[in-house]
Amino acid sequence: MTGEHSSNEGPHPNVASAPRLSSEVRILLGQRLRAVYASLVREPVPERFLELLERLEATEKIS
Amino acid sequence: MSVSKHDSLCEPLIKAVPNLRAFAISLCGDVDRADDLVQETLVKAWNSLASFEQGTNLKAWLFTILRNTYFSECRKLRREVKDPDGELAAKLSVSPEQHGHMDMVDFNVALAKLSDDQREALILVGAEGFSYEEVAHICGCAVGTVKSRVNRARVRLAELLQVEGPTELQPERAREPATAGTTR
Repeated sequence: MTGEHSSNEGPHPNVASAPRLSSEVRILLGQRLRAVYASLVREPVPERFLELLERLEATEKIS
Repeated sequence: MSVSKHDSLCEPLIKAVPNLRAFAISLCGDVDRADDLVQETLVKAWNSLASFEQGTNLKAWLFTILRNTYFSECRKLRREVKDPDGELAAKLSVSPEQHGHMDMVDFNVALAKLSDDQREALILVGAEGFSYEEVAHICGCAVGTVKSRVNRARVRLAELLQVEGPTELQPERAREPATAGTTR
């Protein structure tokens, strides 16, 4: 991808050049990210996907 | 032979759907579009099962198909309509009826303000639990690039949520761009 934005980077665009967060903040962000994401994962799967896979499987068996 | 192969992969495909949806929603911020992406991913995966190496990571393979589909659509879309900054944030902030919690809404808004690259890397590493190497493979970039994106995503999130706390270096500089919102 083309997403290398160099504006905030020092002379060496590697990990070490970016500011680092304290481990407490990293843990907090990680917990919140996983909580938000888990709520998305828990959403019920729409029927259309089960039907789609059944259809794909059915056509496979006929051919 | 090929039929039994398909049979054995149908269930893992279904099992992967909740995570594919969550990833797709996180990427594009729109449930309907996310569902279309998941559907397209499943069809593509099914049609190219022959190219999937048994015993390798099916989930990573599916995620690769989904993000490649999303980003190639984005490139097409960007040529037509210029996505106004913050539109994704607005969508995410009004749509999540399942998140009654204010913290989660704030977090979603902040997450949506990250660049696509950074959000993708952060979610794959931090929420899906892929290794840096797996994410590099999924995104088609170097491991160092993934690490850098994840780190910058965290720093930006901390700024946006104002939880940066004591950073080990450059605390002033880390705070300053929080209101700008023009880094995309």
